[in-house]
Amino acid sequence: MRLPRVKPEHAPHRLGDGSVRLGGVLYGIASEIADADGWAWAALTLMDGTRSPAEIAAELRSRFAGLSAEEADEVVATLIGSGHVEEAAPGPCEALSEREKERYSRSRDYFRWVDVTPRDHGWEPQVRLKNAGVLVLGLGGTGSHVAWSLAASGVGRLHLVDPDVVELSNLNRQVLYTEADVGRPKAEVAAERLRAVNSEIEVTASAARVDGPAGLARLVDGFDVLALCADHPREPGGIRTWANRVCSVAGIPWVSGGYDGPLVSVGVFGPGGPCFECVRAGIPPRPGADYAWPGVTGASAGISGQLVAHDVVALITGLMVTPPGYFHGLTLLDPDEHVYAHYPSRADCEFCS
Amino acid sequence: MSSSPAPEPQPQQDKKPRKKIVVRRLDKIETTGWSQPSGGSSN
Ligand SMILES: [Zn+2]
Repeated sequence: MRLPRVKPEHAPHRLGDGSVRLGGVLYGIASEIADADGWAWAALTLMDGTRSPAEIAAELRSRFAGLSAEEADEVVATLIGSGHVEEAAPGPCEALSEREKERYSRSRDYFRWVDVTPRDHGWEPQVRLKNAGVLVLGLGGTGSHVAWSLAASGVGRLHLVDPDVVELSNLNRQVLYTEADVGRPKAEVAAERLRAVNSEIEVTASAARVDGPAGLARLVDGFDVLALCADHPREPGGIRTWANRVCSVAGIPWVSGGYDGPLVSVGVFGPGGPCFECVRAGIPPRPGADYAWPGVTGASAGISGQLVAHDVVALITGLMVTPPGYFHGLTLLDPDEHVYAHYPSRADCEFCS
Repeated sequence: MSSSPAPEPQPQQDKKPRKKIVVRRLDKIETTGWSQPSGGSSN
Protein backbone atom coordinates (compact mmCIF):
# COMPACT_ATOMS: atom_id res chain seq x y z
CA MET A 1 0.00 0.00 0.00
CA ARG A 2 1.47 3.33 -1.05
CA LEU A 3 -0.46 5.85 1.04
CA PRO A 4 -2.53 4.15 3.75
CA ARG A 5 -5.57 5.99 5.06
CA VAL A 6 -8.00 4.86 7.73
CA LYS A 7 -11.39 4.32 6.08
CA PRO A 8 -13.70 7.16 7.11
CA GLU A 9 -16.38 4.68 8.23
CA HIS A 10 -13.79 2.91 10.39
CA ALA A 11 -12.49 5.97 12.23
CA PRO A 12 -10.70 4.99 15.46
CA HIS A 13 -11.98 5.81 18.93
CA ARG A 14 -9.93 5.64 22.07
CA LEU A 15 -11.66 3.87 24.92
CA GLY A 16 -11.22 4.72 28.59
CA ASP A 17 -8.71 1.92 29.20
CA GLY A 18 -6.42 3.15 26.39
CA SER A 19 -7.48 0.50 23.89
CA VAL A 20 -8.58 1.54 20.42
CA ARG A 21 -11.92 0.68 18.80
CA LEU A 22 -11.99 0.58 15.00
CA GLY A 23 -14.78 0.11 12.51
CA GLY A 24 -17.73 1.22 14.61
CA VAL A 25 -19.67 -1.36 16.57
CA LEU A 26 -21.07 -3.65 13.86
CA TYR A 27 -20.41 -7.37 14.12
CA GLY A 28 -18.11 -8.64 11.38
CA ILE A 29 -16.45 -5.24 11.01
CA ALA A 30 -15.58 -3.73 14.39
CA SER A 31 -12.39 -4.59 16.21
CA GLU A 32 -10.27 -3.51 19.15
CA ILE A 33 -6.59 -3.15 19.81
CA ALA A 34 -5.08 -3.21 23.29
CA ASP A 35 -2.76 -0.23 22.99
CA ALA A 36 -1.01 0.35 26.32
CA ASP A 37 1.96 2.01 24.61
CA GLY A 38 -0.15 4.22 22.34
CA TRP A 39 1.54 2.94 19.18
CA ALA A 40 -1.65 1.92 17.39
CA TRP A 41 -3.38 5.22 18.13
CA ALA A 42 -0.39 7.19 16.91
CA ALA A 43 -0.04 5.10 13.75
CA LEU A 44 -3.73 5.40 12.95
CA THR A 45 -3.56 9.15 13.42
CA LEU A 46 -0.68 9.26 10.95
CA MET A 47 -2.59 7.15 8.40
CA ASP A 48 -4.36 10.05 6.72
CA GLY A 49 -3.32 9.30 3.15
CA THR A 50 -0.33 11.67 3.09
CA ARG A 51 2.43 9.32 4.25
CA SER A 52 3.96 6.06 3.04
CA PRO A 53 4.20 3.07 5.39
CA ALA A 54 7.95 3.76 5.77
CA GLU A 55 7.30 7.39 6.67
CA ILE A 56 4.69 6.38 9.24
CA ALA A 57 7.06 3.84 10.79
CA ALA A 58 9.86 6.44 10.93
CA GLU A 59 7.55 8.96 12.59
CA LEU A 60 6.50 6.35 15.15
CA ARG A 61 10.15 5.68 16.01
CA SER A 62 10.78 9.37 16.49
CA ARG A 63 7.88 9.55 18.93
CA PHE A 64 8.48 6.31 20.86
CA ALA A 65 12.05 5.86 22.00
CA GLY A 66 11.59 2.18 22.90
CA LEU A 67 10.17 1.18 19.53
CA SER A 68 12.52 -0.83 17.29
CA ALA A 69 12.49 -0.55 13.51
CA GLU A 70 11.04 -4.06 13.22
CA GLU A 71 8.32 -3.28 15.74
CA ALA A 72 7.40 -0.04 14.01
CA ASP A 73 7.19 -1.76 10.61
CA GLU A 74 5.04 -4.49 12.12
CA VAL A 75 2.63 -2.03 13.74
CA VAL A 76 2.11 -0.38 10.36
CA ALA A 77 1.79 -3.70 8.51
CA THR A 78 -0.68 -5.06 11.06
CA LEU A 79 -2.93 -2.05 10.72
CA ILE A 80 -2.79 -2.16 6.92
CA GLY A 81 -3.65 -5.85 7.05
CA SER A 82 -6.59 -5.28 9.39
CA GLY A 83 -8.94 -4.10 6.65
CA HIS A 84 -9.61 -0.81 8.44
CA VAL A 85 -7.22 1.00 6.13
CA GLU A 86 -7.56 1.82 2.43
CA GLU A 87 -5.20 2.92 -0.32
CA ALA A 88 -5.44 6.71 -0.65
CA ALA A 89 -3.59 6.67 -3.98
CA PRO A 90 -5.00 3.64 -5.81
CA GLY A 91 -3.78 2.74 -9.25
CA PRO A 92 -6.19 3.15 -12.15
CA CYS A 93 -9.18 0.81 -12.25
CA GLU A 94 -9.63 0.29 -15.96
CA ALA A 95 -12.33 -2.34 -15.58
CA LEU A 96 -14.86 0.43 -14.90
CA SER A 97 -15.55 3.55 -16.95
CA GLU A 98 -15.75 7.00 -15.35
CA ARG A 99 -19.50 6.90 -15.88
CA GLU A 100 -19.72 3.56 -14.05
CA LYS A 101 -17.61 4.95 -11.22
CA GLU A 102 -20.00 7.86 -10.81
CA ARG A 103 -23.02 5.56 -10.98
CA TYR A 104 -21.67 3.12 -8.41
CA SER A 105 -19.89 5.57 -6.11
CA ARG A 106 -22.27 4.96 -3.21
CA SER A 107 -22.01 1.19 -3.67
CA ARG A 108 -18.23 1.54 -3.46
CA ASP A 109 -18.62 3.43 -0.18
CA TYR A 110 -20.86 0.66 1.15
CA PHE A 111 -18.47 -2.11 0.08
CA ARG A 112 -15.50 -0.22 1.55
CA TRP A 113 -17.36 -0.09 4.83
CA VAL A 114 -18.27 -3.80 5.09
CA ASP A 115 -15.14 -5.19 3.44
CA VAL A 116 -12.36 -6.01 5.90
CA THR A 117 -10.01 -7.51 3.32
CA PRO A 118 -7.21 -5.15 2.26
CA ARG A 119 -7.61 -4.21 -1.42
CA ASP A 120 -5.50 -2.48 -4.04
CA HIS A 121 -8.47 -0.26 -4.79
CA GLY A 122 -12.01 0.08 -3.49
CA TRP A 123 -13.62 -0.97 -6.77
CA GLU A 124 -12.82 -4.66 -6.51
CA PRO A 125 -16.28 -5.75 -5.28
CA GLN A 126 -17.94 -3.69 -8.02
CA VAL A 127 -15.70 -5.26 -10.65
CA ARG A 128 -16.73 -8.68 -9.39
CA LEU A 129 -20.38 -7.70 -9.85
CA LYS A 130 -19.64 -6.46 -13.36
CA ASN A 131 -18.00 -9.76 -14.25
CA ALA A 132 -20.85 -11.87 -12.83
CA GLY A 133 -23.91 -13.40 -14.44
CA VAL A 134 -27.12 -14.11 -12.52
CA LEU A 135 -30.16 -16.11 -13.60
CA VAL A 136 -33.34 -14.63 -12.12
CA LEU A 137 -36.05 -17.26 -12.27
CA GLY A 138 -39.48 -15.77 -11.62
CA LEU A 139 -40.37 -12.08 -12.08
CA GLY A 140 -43.28 -11.70 -9.67
CA GLY A 141 -43.44 -10.19 -6.20
CA THR A 142 -39.97 -11.31 -5.16
CA GLY A 143 -38.27 -11.60 -8.55
CA SER A 144 -39.22 -8.17 -9.89
CA HIS A 145 -37.49 -6.54 -6.91
CA VAL A 146 -34.51 -8.88 -7.21
CA ALA A 147 -34.06 -8.11 -10.90
CA TRP A 148 -34.31 -4.35 -10.36
CA SER A 149 -31.86 -4.44 -7.45
CA LEU A 150 -29.27 -6.55 -9.27
CA ALA A 151 -29.51 -4.37 -12.39
CA ALA A 152 -29.14 -1.21 -10.34
CA SER A 153 -26.20 -2.75 -8.47
CA GLY A 154 -24.37 -3.42 -11.72
CA VAL A 155 -24.42 -7.21 -12.07
CA GLY A 156 -22.96 -7.45 -15.55
CA ARG A 157 -25.20 -10.09 -17.05
CA LEU A 158 -28.81 -10.82 -16.08
CA HIS A 159 -31.07 -13.43 -17.64
CA LEU A 160 -34.73 -13.11 -16.69
CA VAL A 161 -37.15 -16.01 -16.98
CA ASP A 162 -40.91 -15.97 -16.41
CA PRO A 163 -43.71 -17.48 -18.52
CA ASP A 164 -46.49 -15.17 -17.29
CA VAL A 165 -48.05 -11.95 -18.53
CA VAL A 166 -48.61 -8.85 -16.41
CA GLU A 167 -51.99 -8.72 -14.65
CA LEU A 168 -53.63 -5.79 -12.88
CA SER A 169 -53.49 -7.67 -9.58
CA ASN A 170 -49.68 -7.81 -9.89
CA LEU A 171 -49.33 -4.07 -9.63
CA ASN A 172 -49.70 -3.84 -5.83
CA ARG A 173 -46.18 -5.24 -5.49
CA GLN A 174 -44.35 -6.03 -8.74
CA VAL A 175 -42.11 -3.05 -9.13
CA LEU A 176 -41.14 -3.31 -12.81
CA TYR A 177 -44.62 -3.05 -14.39
CA THR A 178 -47.16 -0.30 -15.06
CA GLU A 179 -50.82 -0.25 -16.01
CA ALA A 180 -49.79 0.04 -19.65
CA ASP A 181 -48.03 -3.32 -19.41
CA VAL A 182 -51.07 -5.41 -18.46
CA GLY A 183 -51.27 -8.34 -20.85
CA ARG A 184 -47.63 -8.13 -21.95
CA PRO A 185 -45.07 -10.85 -21.13
CA LYS A 186 -43.34 -10.06 -17.83
CA ALA A 187 -39.92 -11.16 -19.09
CA GLU A 188 -40.09 -8.79 -22.06
CA VAL A 189 -41.32 -5.82 -20.02
CA ALA A 190 -38.83 -6.45 -17.22
CA ALA A 191 -35.91 -6.55 -19.66
CA GLU A 192 -37.02 -3.24 -21.20
CA ARG A 193 -37.27 -1.57 -17.80
CA LEU A 194 -33.91 -2.86 -16.60
CA ARG A 195 -32.12 -1.76 -19.76
CA ALA A 196 -33.56 1.70 -19.10
CA VAL A 197 -32.37 1.56 -15.48
CA ASN A 198 -28.87 0.47 -16.42
CA SER A 199 -27.57 0.49 -19.99
CA GLU A 200 -24.12 -0.64 -18.84
CA ILE A 201 -25.24 -4.22 -18.25
CA GLU A 202 -26.50 -7.01 -20.49
CA VAL A 203 -30.11 -8.05 -19.89
CA THR A 204 -31.68 -10.99 -21.69
CA ALA A 205 -35.10 -12.52 -21.13
CA SER A 206 -37.15 -15.59 -21.87
CA ALA A 207 -40.81 -16.50 -21.36
CA ALA A 208 -39.87 -20.15 -20.90
CA ARG A 209 -41.60 -22.25 -18.28
CA VAL A 210 -39.22 -24.43 -16.28
CA ASP A 211 -40.75 -27.89 -16.18
CA GLY A 212 -38.11 -29.96 -14.42
CA PRO A 213 -34.52 -30.28 -13.24
CA ALA A 214 -33.17 -30.94 -16.74
CA GLY A 215 -34.62 -27.71 -18.06
CA LEU A 216 -33.35 -25.80 -15.06
CA ALA A 217 -29.86 -27.27 -15.52
CA ARG A 218 -29.80 -25.99 -19.11
CA LEU A 219 -30.90 -22.53 -17.99
CA VAL A 220 -28.44 -22.14 -15.12
CA ASP A 221 -25.44 -23.27 -17.16
CA GLY A 222 -22.88 -20.47 -17.45
CA PHE A 223 -24.23 -18.32 -14.62
CA ASP A 224 -22.53 -17.59 -11.31
CA VAL A 225 -25.62 -17.47 -9.07
CA LEU A 226 -29.27 -18.50 -9.34
CA ALA A 227 -31.88 -16.21 -7.79
CA LEU A 228 -34.88 -18.50 -7.45
CA CYS A 229 -38.02 -16.39 -7.19
CA ALA A 230 -40.56 -18.91 -8.43
CA ASP A 231 -42.61 -21.01 -6.04
CA HIS A 232 -44.24 -23.67 -8.24
CA PRO A 233 -44.23 -26.56 -8.08
CA ARG A 234 -44.11 -26.33 -4.29
CA GLU A 235 -42.20 -28.53 -1.89
CA PRO A 236 -41.66 -31.33 -1.22
CA GLY A 237 -40.00 -32.23 -4.45
CA GLY A 238 -40.77 -28.88 -6.08
CA ILE A 239 -38.76 -26.20 -7.80
CA ARG A 240 -36.55 -25.52 -4.78
CA THR A 241 -35.59 -29.17 -4.65
CA TRP A 242 -34.82 -29.01 -8.38
CA ALA A 243 -32.67 -25.94 -7.78
CA ASN A 244 -30.91 -27.64 -4.88
CA ARG A 245 -29.93 -30.65 -6.96
CA VAL A 246 -29.09 -28.79 -10.16
CA CYS A 247 -27.01 -26.14 -8.40
CA SER A 248 -25.25 -28.63 -6.13
CA VAL A 249 -24.15 -30.70 -9.11
CA ALA A 250 -23.13 -27.57 -11.05
CA GLY A 251 -21.36 -26.03 -8.02
CA ILE A 252 -23.41 -22.83 -8.29
CA PRO A 253 -24.65 -20.97 -5.20
CA TRP A 254 -28.30 -20.02 -5.14
CA VAL A 255 -30.66 -17.86 -3.16
CA SER A 256 -34.38 -18.36 -2.82
CA GLY A 257 -36.82 -15.92 -1.31
CA GLY A 258 -40.48 -15.63 -0.57
CA TYR A 259 -43.20 -14.72 1.85
CA ASP A 260 -45.99 -16.41 3.74
CA GLY A 261 -48.09 -13.44 4.71
CA PRO A 262 -46.03 -11.39 7.16
CA LEU A 263 -43.30 -14.04 7.37
CA VAL A 264 -40.58 -13.10 4.87
CA SER A 265 -37.75 -15.56 4.45
CA VAL A 266 -34.71 -16.22 2.30
CA GLY A 267 -32.56 -19.32 1.86
CA VAL A 268 -28.88 -19.03 0.97
CA PHE A 269 -27.09 -22.14 -0.26
CA GLY A 270 -23.82 -22.90 -1.94
CA PRO A 271 -20.82 -25.19 -2.26
CA GLY A 272 -19.28 -26.18 1.05
CA GLY A 273 -22.39 -25.61 3.15
CA PRO A 274 -25.37 -27.80 4.01
CA CYS A 275 -27.82 -27.95 1.12
CA PHE A 276 -31.45 -26.84 1.02
CA GLU A 277 -32.78 -30.36 1.52
CA CYS A 278 -30.55 -30.98 4.55
CA VAL A 279 -31.41 -27.70 6.24
CA ARG A 280 -35.08 -28.24 5.46
CA ALA A 281 -34.89 -31.78 6.88
CA GLY A 282 -33.47 -30.40 10.10
CA ILE A 283 -36.35 -28.04 10.75
CA PRO A 284 -38.74 -29.73 13.18
CA PRO A 285 -42.14 -30.35 11.60
CA ARG A 286 -44.82 -28.06 13.01
CA PRO A 287 -48.48 -28.67 12.26
CA GLY A 288 -49.99 -25.63 10.57
CA ALA A 289 -46.64 -24.28 9.40
CA ASP A 290 -47.19 -24.87 5.68
CA TYR A 291 -48.87 -21.85 4.17
CA ALA A 292 -49.80 -21.37 0.54
CA TRP A 293 -52.00 -18.28 0.69
CA PRO A 294 -51.54 -15.48 -1.80
CA GLY A 295 -51.73 -12.44 0.50
CA VAL A 296 -48.84 -10.06 -0.11
CA THR A 297 -48.11 -6.33 -0.10
CA GLY A 298 -45.56 -4.16 -1.83
CA ALA A 299 -43.57 -4.15 1.41
CA SER A 300 -43.58 -7.90 2.07
CA ALA A 301 -42.72 -8.70 -1.56
CA GLY A 302 -40.11 -5.98 -1.73
CA ILE A 303 -38.38 -7.03 1.47
CA SER A 304 -38.17 -10.63 0.31
CA GLY A 305 -36.77 -9.56 -3.04
CA GLN A 306 -34.28 -7.12 -1.60
CA LEU A 307 -33.06 -9.72 0.90
CA VAL A 308 -32.49 -12.12 -1.99
CA ALA A 309 -30.69 -9.42 -3.98
CA HIS A 310 -28.53 -8.59 -0.99
CA ASP A 311 -27.51 -12.21 -0.57
CA VAL A 312 -26.76 -12.60 -4.29
CA VAL A 313 -24.50 -9.54 -4.11
CA ALA A 314 -22.89 -10.90 -0.94
CA LEU A 315 -22.17 -14.23 -2.64
CA ILE A 316 -20.65 -12.56 -5.71
CA THR A 317 -18.53 -10.08 -3.77
CA GLY A 318 -17.66 -12.51 -0.97
CA LEU A 319 -18.77 -9.94 1.58
CA MET A 320 -20.70 -12.15 3.97
CA VAL A 321 -19.97 -13.17 7.55
CA THR A 322 -21.99 -16.40 7.72
CA PRO A 323 -21.21 -18.94 4.97
CA PRO A 324 -24.13 -20.31 2.89
CA GLY A 325 -26.42 -23.03 4.19
CA TYR A 326 -29.28 -21.36 6.07
CA PHE A 327 -32.66 -19.69 5.97
CA HIS A 328 -33.16 -16.29 7.51
CA GLY A 329 -35.96 -13.81 7.66
CA LEU A 330 -38.36 -11.86 9.78
CA THR A 331 -42.01 -11.55 10.63
CA LEU A 332 -43.27 -8.10 9.76
CA LEU A 333 -45.79 -8.20 12.60
CA ASP A 334 -43.06 -8.26 15.23
CA PRO A 335 -39.69 -6.58 14.82
CA ASP A 336 -38.36 -8.66 17.72
CA GLU A 337 -38.89 -11.94 15.85
CA HIS A 338 -36.04 -12.96 13.61
CA VAL A 339 -35.97 -16.30 11.86
CA TYR A 340 -32.77 -18.27 11.37
CA ALA A 341 -32.42 -21.95 10.53
CA HIS A 342 -29.15 -23.75 10.07
CA TYR A 343 -28.73 -27.52 10.28
CA PRO A 344 -25.76 -29.65 9.26
CA SER A 345 -25.50 -31.84 6.19
CA ARG A 346 -27.08 -35.27 6.59
CA ALA A 347 -24.44 -37.99 6.51
CA ASP A 348 -25.96 -39.67 3.46
CA CYS A 349 -26.75 -36.56 1.44
CA GLU A 350 -25.50 -37.00 -2.11
CA PHE A 351 -25.59 -33.24 -2.74
CA CYS A 352 -23.63 -31.69 0.11
CA SER A 353 -22.05 -34.18 2.53
CA MET B 1 25.89 -28.24 2.82
CA SER B 2 28.30 -26.99 5.48
CA SER B 3 30.58 -29.48 7.13
CA SER B 4 30.96 -27.41 10.28
CA PRO B 5 28.53 -28.11 13.12
CA ALA B 6 25.53 -25.88 13.43
CA PRO B 7 26.09 -23.07 15.96
CA GLU B 8 24.49 -23.45 19.35
CA PRO B 9 21.46 -21.20 19.73
CA GLN B 10 22.49 -18.18 21.74
CA PRO B 11 20.52 -17.27 24.84
CA GLN B 12 18.81 -13.93 24.28
CA GLN B 13 17.95 -12.85 27.79
CA ASP B 14 19.65 -9.50 27.17
CA LYS B 15 17.38 -8.68 24.23
CA LYS B 16 13.93 -7.40 25.21
CA PRO B 17 11.00 -9.37 23.78
CA ARG B 18 9.57 -7.91 20.60
CA LYS B 19 6.21 -6.26 21.21
CA LYS B 20 3.42 -6.07 18.73
CA ILE B 21 -0.18 -4.97 18.45
CA VAL B 22 -3.04 -7.40 17.88
CA VAL B 23 -6.22 -6.43 16.06
CA ARG B 24 -9.04 -8.42 17.66
CA ARG B 25 -12.33 -8.61 15.75
CA LEU B 26 -15.18 -8.11 18.22
CA ASP B 27 -17.44 -11.02 19.16
CA LYS B 28 -21.17 -10.89 18.51
CA ILE B 29 -21.83 -10.48 22.23
CA GLU B 30 -19.77 -7.26 22.18
CA THR B 31 -21.53 -5.74 19.19
CA THR B 32 -25.23 -6.40 19.70
CA GLY B 33 -27.48 -3.60 20.77
CA TRP B 34 -28.86 -0.36 19.43
CA SER B 35 -26.05 1.57 17.87
CA GLN B 36 -27.63 4.00 15.44
CA PRO B 37 -28.82 6.94 17.55
CA SER B 38 -29.03 9.18 14.48
CA GLY B 39 -31.58 6.86 12.88
CA GLY B 40 -29.41 6.40 9.83
CA SER B 41 -29.33 7.97 6.38
CA SER B 42 -32.13 7.57 3.87
CA ASN B 43 -30.99 9.22 0.66
ZN1 LIG C 1 -27.52 -32.00 1.67
